[in-house]
Amino acid sequence: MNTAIRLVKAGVCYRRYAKPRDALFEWVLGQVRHQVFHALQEISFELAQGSSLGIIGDNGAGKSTLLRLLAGNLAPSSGQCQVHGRRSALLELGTGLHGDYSGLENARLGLALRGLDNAAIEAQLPKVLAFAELGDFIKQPVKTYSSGMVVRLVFAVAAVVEPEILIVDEALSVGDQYFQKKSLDHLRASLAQGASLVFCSHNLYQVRELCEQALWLEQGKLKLLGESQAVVDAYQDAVRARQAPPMSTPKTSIEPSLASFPSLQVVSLRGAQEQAGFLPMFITWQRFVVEVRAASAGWRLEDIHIGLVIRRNDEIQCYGISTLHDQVPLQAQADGSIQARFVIEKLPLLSGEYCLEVWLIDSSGLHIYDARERCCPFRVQQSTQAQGIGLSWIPHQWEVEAN
Amino acid sequence: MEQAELRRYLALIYQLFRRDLTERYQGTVLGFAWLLVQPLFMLGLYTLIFSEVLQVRFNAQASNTHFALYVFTGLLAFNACAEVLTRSTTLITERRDWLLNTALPSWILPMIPVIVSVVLEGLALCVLLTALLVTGQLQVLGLVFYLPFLLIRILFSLAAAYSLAVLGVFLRDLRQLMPAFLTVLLFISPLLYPLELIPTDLRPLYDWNPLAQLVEAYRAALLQGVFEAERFGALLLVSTSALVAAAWLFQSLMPRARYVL
Repeated sequence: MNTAIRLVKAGVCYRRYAKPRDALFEWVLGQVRHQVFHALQEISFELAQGSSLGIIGDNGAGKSTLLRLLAGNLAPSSGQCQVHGRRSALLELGTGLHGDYSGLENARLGLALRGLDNAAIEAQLPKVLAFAELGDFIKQPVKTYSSGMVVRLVFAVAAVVEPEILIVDEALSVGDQYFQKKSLDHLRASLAQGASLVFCSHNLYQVRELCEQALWLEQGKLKLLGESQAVVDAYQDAVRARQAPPMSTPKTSIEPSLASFPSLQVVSLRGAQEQAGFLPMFITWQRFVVEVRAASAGWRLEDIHIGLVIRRNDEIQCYGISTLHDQVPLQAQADGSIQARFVIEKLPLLSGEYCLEVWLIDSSGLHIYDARERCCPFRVQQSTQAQGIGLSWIPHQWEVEAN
Repeated sequence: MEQAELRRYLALIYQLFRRDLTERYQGTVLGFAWLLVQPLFMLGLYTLIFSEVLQVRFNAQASNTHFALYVFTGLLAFNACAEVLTRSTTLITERRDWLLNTALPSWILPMIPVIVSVVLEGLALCVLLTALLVTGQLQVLGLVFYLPFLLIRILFSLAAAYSLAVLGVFLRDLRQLMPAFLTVLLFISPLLYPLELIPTDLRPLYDWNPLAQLVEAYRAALLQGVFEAERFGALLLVSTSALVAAAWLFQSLMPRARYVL
């Protein structure tokens, strides 16, 4: 396997000057007038041709600097940075674009900056336009574009050059759902065709899905490098630990071993028919109960809610609801734990395999304390075809006109 | 440099040059026609002022359009240099975004205003040659003798562009100084008067002004059809050394410039 990227103790340090002219005087007079800021220190890793690397870390951890280094916009101040193969970078949104020029002109220049000659530029332009799907807007100045349109243009330019190494920053997250999917599909297709990918995102889910390996940067240093699932988990743990309220005085007897964050403890189904070797089974219109037990970790109960989604095995969300939306206040047990049951008296689901997603969310519905995805798989069996076909029984009636 | 690499750089230079010109005339009614209108207007104005209003003549035999063409020829070199000098100081700072976020090689940027200046000069030259032809003063070999000095002009412009571009990053005042400097340059070069009018004890000042030398050489070639070999040799030496020094300055300072961009 060939190496696409090899970094050996690569470091980048910036010099900070009080005024621009100090940098000149320093050179002329030979006296130091700067402070050194280490953006990256001693980063070493290798990326094999055709594999993918996610870069995660907090803001200011050096992610952008690392990407610039890999993109060749920046030379390492120490160590080595070797990149083999044609690369194309999609850095922070909108950089390298000129607002007064039309999308078309920007596309031309973008292609030239990526090392295409004039003939190749004109040959690739139609592909860029087709990919970006900007219609007549392509002739308008880029300053009139929305951020979603900018990302379409930039991604289209970066994508058509068919690089051997694609370097993608954050940018994707601003596109609309349709284009996000299109660009992610494109990245996946490039990977399948043997290109290498370096992908930096705060969307850890995307990193996990798209990248084999991940690299966690912390304050300019490599904190962890490894299989992406493991690195993302470790990073998420660290973020959660940091976000925990400082010195949350345990009011009641909460187990000290628990993270100081609300967490799910037990999610279980009640009332299913159990049979060895088969999934727990419910009959349509039967009573369906999910029992959830969670630790409040000393948090205000008003700020904890349980959300639940029933998902079929083809990923269709059948139904999802939460105590937040149903406006059901949670109660704490003596030991600080929360216990709640989600009850459907007459389960309307039709035959199929389903599973649950259970979420512990805050009162804004945005923050997720804890989640169980694809847990408690179960089967639903219709008692009769007469209950209909499809996903769920829907209350209905027929009205037949009589003479 | 490999051929493919060279082609890529040429493509980049071409795209940057294109945008530069487009940007300049974007939204104007005349568009690219301004490129020709400007020199035409200047020549018309000079003819009106010097030939009709002031009726300046070097001697009794000279035609009344002669002085206007004389001034115009000198301004050919001056305007081209002025274009480069005004643009260079902000060249790098204006393209900060590209330099930091794309793989744009910084050494390409100072070439753009120089190329633009050659285009502007070329169009003004066409206007001049037409005027000379119409007034029957065209020197057949003039164009051939002019080209070597155009090369000198380009070398000087490149030297100025490279050094000012990188110095402009550190010394932001340079930009404000430039208009004043250009006015001084206009008067210490024999643009509106012949060099012979300068008192001999002030002559060394002019001898060491490369622009004054260039203006004189342009006139000798285009108006008199004379090639001044000695002047060419001296200017070639000076301009090449200036360019080498500028390139060295640019190369040594550019890594530092990135820190303060």
